Amino acid sequence: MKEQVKKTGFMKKRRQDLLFYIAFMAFPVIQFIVFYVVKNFNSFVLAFQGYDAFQGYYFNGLENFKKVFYDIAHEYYFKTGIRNSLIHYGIGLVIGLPLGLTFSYYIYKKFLMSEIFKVILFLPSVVSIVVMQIIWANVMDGMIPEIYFAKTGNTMLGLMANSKTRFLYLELFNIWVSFGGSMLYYVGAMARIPDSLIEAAELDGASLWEEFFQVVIPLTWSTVKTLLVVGIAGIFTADLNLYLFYGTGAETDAYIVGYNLLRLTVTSKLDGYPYISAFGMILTAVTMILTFAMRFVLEKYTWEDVEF
Amino acid sequence: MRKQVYQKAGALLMVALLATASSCGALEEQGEQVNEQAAVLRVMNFDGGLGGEWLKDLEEKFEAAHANDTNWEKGKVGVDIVIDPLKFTGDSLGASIATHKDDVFFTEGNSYYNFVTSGWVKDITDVVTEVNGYDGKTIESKLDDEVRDFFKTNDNKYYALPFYSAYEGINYDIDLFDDMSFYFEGDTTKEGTPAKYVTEAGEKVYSFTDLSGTRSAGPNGKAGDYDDGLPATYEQFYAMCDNMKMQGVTPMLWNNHAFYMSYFMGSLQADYEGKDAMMANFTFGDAKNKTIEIVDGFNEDGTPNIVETTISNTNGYEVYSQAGRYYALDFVNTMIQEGYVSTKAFGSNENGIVAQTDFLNGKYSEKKETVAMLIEGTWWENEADAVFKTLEGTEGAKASRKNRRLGFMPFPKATEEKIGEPLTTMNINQTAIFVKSSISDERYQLAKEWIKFVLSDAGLNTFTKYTNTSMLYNYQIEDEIFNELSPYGKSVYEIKQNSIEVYPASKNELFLSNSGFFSMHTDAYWNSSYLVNGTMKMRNSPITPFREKEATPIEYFEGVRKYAEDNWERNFSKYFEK
Repeated sequence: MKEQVKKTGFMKKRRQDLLFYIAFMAFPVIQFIVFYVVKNFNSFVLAFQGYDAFQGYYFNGLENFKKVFYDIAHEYYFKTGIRNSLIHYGIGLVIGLPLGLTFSYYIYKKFLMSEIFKVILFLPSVVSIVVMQIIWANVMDGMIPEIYFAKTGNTMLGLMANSKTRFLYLELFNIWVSFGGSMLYYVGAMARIPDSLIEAAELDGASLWEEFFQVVIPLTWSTVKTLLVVGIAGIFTADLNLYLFYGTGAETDAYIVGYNLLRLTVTSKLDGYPYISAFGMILTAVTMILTFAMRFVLEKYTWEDVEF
Repeated sequence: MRKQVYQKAGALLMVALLATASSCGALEEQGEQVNEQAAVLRVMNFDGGLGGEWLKDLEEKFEAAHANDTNWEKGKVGVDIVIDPLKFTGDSLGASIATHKDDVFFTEGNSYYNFVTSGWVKDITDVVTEVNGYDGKTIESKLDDEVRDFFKTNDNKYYALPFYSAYEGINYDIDLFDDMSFYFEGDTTKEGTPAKYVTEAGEKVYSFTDLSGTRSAGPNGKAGDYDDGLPATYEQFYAMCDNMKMQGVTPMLWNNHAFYMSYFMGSLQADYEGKDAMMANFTFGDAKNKTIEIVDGFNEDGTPNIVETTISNTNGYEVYSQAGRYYALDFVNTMIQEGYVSTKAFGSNENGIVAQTDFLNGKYSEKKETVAMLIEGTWWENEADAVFKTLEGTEGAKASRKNRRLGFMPFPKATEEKIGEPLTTMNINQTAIFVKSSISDERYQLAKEWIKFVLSDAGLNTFTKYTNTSMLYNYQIEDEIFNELSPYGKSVYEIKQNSIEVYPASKNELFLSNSGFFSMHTDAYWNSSYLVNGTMKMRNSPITPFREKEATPIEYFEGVRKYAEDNWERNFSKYFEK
């Protein structure tokens, strides 16, 4: 009897647990199904369709893929987009990453004015990107030309308007606004390093450089590695914030793959969606290969993850 | 204990979910109180430059006219129109329209036939063809032939109607033109011609005057009407800009949205080509007049050599060689090369509102450029309402929207031979009013009644009264309303009355099945490919290539034709004539 009561109580508790679990998980699961599974399935189907105003969608085989491959090989703005996407990733790797790590280390070590730096560097990450864009555009294309005009009496093109300087200042803007986000990860990873390890390094007479390169970097490498892999996944989706600055009308020399995809989606009608879907699928396939390759290289040729 | 924790957590979750749900409702309540006792109709209004004041006025009148109705919904007395201002446009609206809370849509950028084929919109044929009880006319009778033919499907049904009409063009400061004498003085010995005099250096220059002087006949070649004293040709326009520059005024400003310039150049092209030839850009093989004039090379003096060709779907790329395109490119290039346009126009911060503000504010501050003309759509004055109000506060009543004299300039003609040809204006947007197909039967009847009310003569007049623009229908503005319009509104109305309008759409299958590609809103309309230092480059707008002297108008123009021809067959062969 006692056993049965115990069993019934257990079942009831299991039911309650299940109910709680369902209540908690239902919303994210439904959201995942609708906005990821259904959406991507729809894109997959669309990629093999054509469109006619009087018939609607019809099966079109691999025509959209052929068109995308043709455009990649022949269209100037596609080639420029791929080149710029790789340059953008390279800049992030060569400038953004070392800068992020160095500043994070500075803050982690609580050097002079590190708290102020922390606020200054994190601020762009918490303020809306639109606000940041407005400030940047007004300084580069508003304030600077006006100061120049006041000083010289001549007009000048803004730094974001001039095609010779535009890419540089777009990159600077992107480093500025994304700096805080990556620093958050790095500082977090550095904070996890046991104090005893740092003290041991100091007792061994390690300089700050040695401490940084031989203790801190290897111990935070798993975080850096994750961000590098995630960065690869973003090569073809990053839009360099071109849409914020120029809407759908950025010049072809400034194109980047993610922006091209976004621009096509915004300006297309029903007839354009199949092509965009095929384009997206090709990008997904390429990104997948690159991501696995990057992971393989990082796992094989760099520091192993350290548990501490 | 654990049970209590779970119960509390569950309750907390429910509260959170309910709070989320109710906050949505609360927000709606903040926007507009819904009268649950009345039959409710939800109306989405595109929350753009034209705003929603006009619709609010009509809403109140409609609700008052039907306050005691009991026939719309069982157990409900009266009607309640709930206006939903949203920036929801284009074909993307269609995908969610079935579950969208709104029933009737006033929007833009949609491909009408995509909506019909996808079954997203409801049949409203009776609304269009039956005599409207509010004014005794059919809505169909108020439509231009081309617009009617476009909206009437092949099975003689209507699933949508056009919404507003808007042109993109040169907006000018009449006060400034008057104060600084930017009008061309008329040559009294030769009617309609601007006066010229010879300087000491022997140079012939134009003579300018203010509004009180004798002015030249303007682009329509007729003296004594609305365009007197305005530049009749591009050449005169440049002379006027020189005059402005000499007096320290910046002639022109535009904003940084590339598609605005695409619309503008397309509008210049339309005025050069005239309605039939311009329509070939959208009708291709179904053109009313299949013979069009195109450019076949350039003469030694730089003028285009014009030849005739017969247009079809197969050689549709020929429309990209129309002379109007070349002259539009040449016009924009001259504006840039001669420094007639403010360098602000190229800045990433110079969006629509900023450019409007710079245009309106400039002359009141010595530190700012005084700008004489602004390239914008006819909705801009309404969009800049807040700027007018601020200016009125600082500069007094003379700077108010009601008193400030601004106008929409008829396009100058590309060549002297074109003077006197009627002005052709381009309705730059495809706009639409429709009812979603998933609407309930009860609301469907109410939706139709509402559309009839809005598109009655009184409804159309209300639209004009508030927005200072027009809907895409033929209707007479009542004197009382006309007198209430701002000077700019009167000017736009005059342009409408004195121009032939082009509606950029047709039922041609090639056009309809690729409507995104052929829209002036996308960059495809001005795509051009040409050699730059040995590399074949593609450009989507001529502004930067001209500014940086990368291409001449002829090179850019020939590149437009080349790009279209190179890509035509692989993209559109399905629609070629057999």
